[in-house]
Amino acid sequence: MKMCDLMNGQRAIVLNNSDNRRLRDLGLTKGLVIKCLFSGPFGDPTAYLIRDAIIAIRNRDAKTILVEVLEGKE
Amino acid sequence: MKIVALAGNPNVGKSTIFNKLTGKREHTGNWSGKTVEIASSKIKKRKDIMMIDLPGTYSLCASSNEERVCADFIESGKFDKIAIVCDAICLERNLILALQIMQKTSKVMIIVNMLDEAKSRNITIDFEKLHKRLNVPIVGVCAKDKGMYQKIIDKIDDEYTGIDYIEDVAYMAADIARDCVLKQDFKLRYRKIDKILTGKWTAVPIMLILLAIIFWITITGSNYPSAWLSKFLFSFELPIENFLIGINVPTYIVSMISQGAYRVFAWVVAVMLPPMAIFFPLFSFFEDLGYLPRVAFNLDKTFAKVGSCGSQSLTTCMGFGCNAAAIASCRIISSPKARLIAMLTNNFVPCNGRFPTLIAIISMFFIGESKFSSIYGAIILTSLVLVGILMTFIVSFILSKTMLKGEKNIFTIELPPYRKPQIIQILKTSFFEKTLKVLYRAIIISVPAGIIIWLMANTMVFDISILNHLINLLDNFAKIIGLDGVILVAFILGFPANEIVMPIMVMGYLGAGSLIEFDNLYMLKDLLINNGWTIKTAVCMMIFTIMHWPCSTTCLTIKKESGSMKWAVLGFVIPTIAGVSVCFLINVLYNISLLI
Repeated sequence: MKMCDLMNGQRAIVLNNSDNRRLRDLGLTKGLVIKCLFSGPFGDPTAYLIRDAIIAIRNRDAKTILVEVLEGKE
Repeated sequence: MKIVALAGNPNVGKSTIFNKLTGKREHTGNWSGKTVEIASSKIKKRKDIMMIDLPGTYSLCASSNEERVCADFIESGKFDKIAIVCDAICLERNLILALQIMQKTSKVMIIVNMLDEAKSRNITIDFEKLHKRLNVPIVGVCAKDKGMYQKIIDKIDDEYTGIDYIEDVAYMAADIARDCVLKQDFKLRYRKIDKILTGKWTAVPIMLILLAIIFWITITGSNYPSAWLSKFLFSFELPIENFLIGINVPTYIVSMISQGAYRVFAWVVAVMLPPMAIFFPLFSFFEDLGYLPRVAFNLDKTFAKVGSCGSQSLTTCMGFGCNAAAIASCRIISSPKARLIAMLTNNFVPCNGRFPTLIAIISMFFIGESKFSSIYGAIILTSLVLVGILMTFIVSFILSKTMLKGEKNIFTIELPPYRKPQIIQILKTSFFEKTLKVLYRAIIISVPAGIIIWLMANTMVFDISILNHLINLLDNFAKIIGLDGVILVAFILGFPANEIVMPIMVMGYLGAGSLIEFDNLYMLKDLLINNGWTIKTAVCMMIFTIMHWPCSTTCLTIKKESGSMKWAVLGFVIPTIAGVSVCFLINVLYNISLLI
C-alpha cells in the first residue's frame, strides 16, 4: 500500500527508496520501519515517526512511497 | 589560528553550543534553517580557536541554498575540525549526516547533545561502543551541563583515522544505532499536547487565541514604556537646542537638528522600541517551546492551496513584529519560489510600526464610549489583520499562477519535541540581536529622514513650503483613492519608517515646520474632521496603512535576500497597486452609496 494510506498508529516497513532526494536525506529509506502518528487539522500533511524523529510529509509526496503494514504491537 | 566548524541536522542545539563556547549571543531557535548568517567567533577559553556555526542540514547533497553552504564548506577543506552535533534522541537519523561528512574528511569529532532529554526518555547511549564503531573523538553533553566547555575543548585536538568507505550510509546508521543506543520502554512524549495543538477542532482556535494574546500583551504592554520613553527622549530636545546655540551654531541649523533630526529619531525610537522589545521575546518563546513548527504543520494545507507552504505562516506572523526581519526569516522556506512568494506578500501584515496608526484611527472613528469599546476595537483590528491575510492569500495565489508558477517542490517539516524555553537566553538574545539592531537602524534611518522632512517643511518656494507644493500636487490623485494630499505625502515621507506617518500628517494639517505630538485623541479627531475627514477617509487610511509600499529597510532586505533589484521593485509595486485599487473601490462604492 501507499504510505499516505496508513492509518494513525500503524507501523509499516518501507518497500522502496523515494525518487526524491529530500525524503531520502531525512532517512526515509528502503527497509526502514516507520509509524504513522497523526494528521494535521485539515488532513494533510501527516506526521510520521522516522528514525525516532517526528517528520511531517504531505500526502502528495507520501504517495510515492510503498509500504507494508506490520501487524501486532511494537 | 585553528578553525573548528559546528555542523549537524537542524534543531540539534548547534547554536546553543556555539553560544556557550564563544560567549556570543547568536540567535538560536527551533525551526530548521535558523542560523541565518554563518556566525563565527573565537572560543572563550581557547583564543587560538575560531568557531564557525554552519546552517543545519539533513544531508550533504544539498537541496536548498542554505544547505549548500554546509556542503561547500566541507568540500573546501579549509578547517581543522568539523564538530558534528547529534541529537541523542534521534541519533540514528543524525548519524546519516555524520557518516556522510566522515566519508569526506577524517578531521571530525562528534558531540552528542540533549543527553538529559534522552535520559528522561530512558535512552542510553553506549559511548565506548560508538567510539569504537566510528573511530573519532566523541563527547556527550547537554545544555545545562556546566562542564560542557571543557569536555569539548579537551577533545578538539584529538585525532583519529575515521572510518572506511561505506556502501549504504542509511543502513550503516541504523546498524550503529542498533548497536549503541539502548531504549527501554521508549515512549513518544507529549502526544496528548499534540492531539490538542494539532487537533481537527482545536488547532485553529488555539492558534488564533495565542496570536490574539501576543498582540494584546505587545500593545497594552508597550503603552506605558512608550509614553515614558517619549517623555524621556523629548526632554533632551531643549538642552540639545541650548547647547547648540551656546556653541554658536546658526539658528537655522539648530532647529534642523533638534526639531528635524532629533525629534524624528526620538519619535521612531519611542514608538518602535517597546513593542519590538516585547514581541520578539514572545515569538522566540513559542519558537523555543516547539510550537511554531506545529503552526506550520497545521497551516500547510491552506498555504499549499495558494502555491506556498506552511512555513509561510511563520514568516507572516513574524511580519507582525517587523516586516524586514520577517523577510530575512523567509530563509526557512527551502523552495526558492515559495520563498519569493512569502517575501513579496509579507508586507500585507502590519508591523509594530503600523499598529499604532491603526489603533489611533479605530479609537477615533469607530468606537464610541461604551463598556464594550475595547472589544469593538479588538474586533475591528482583527478584521483589518484578516483583510491583510486575505490579501496575502490572493496575491500568493496570483504569483504562484503567473510569475512564480510551475515548481512542484516537496515540503517536509520536523516537529521537534516540546522543550522548556531558556527564558534568560531568549531575553538576552532578543535584546542584543534584535532590539539593539533595531535601535541602530532607527538612528541611521531617522536622522537623515528627519532632516529631509524638516527641509521640505521649511524651505519656501514662491512663499509656499516644498511640502505644501507636494501636497497640492498630489491632492487630486489622493482624493480619487479616498485620501487627501496630506495623507499621501505623509505615507511617502514615511518611507524610512512607518511610525512617523501620523505625526507628519498632523504636521501637514497644521502647516507646522516640524513633527507634532498629539496626546489627545479628541483634539486630533477634531483636527482631522476640520480637514475634511469622513468615515470613508478613515477606512481608506487604514486600508492604505496595511497595503502600501514597504518601508525602506524592508525594500533593501528584499533586494539583499532575493539577490535582485527586480524583486525589490515588485515588493514595492505589488502592495502599492493592491492598496490603490482597494482604496479606489472603497471610494467609488462610498460615493455611489451617497447618491442612493
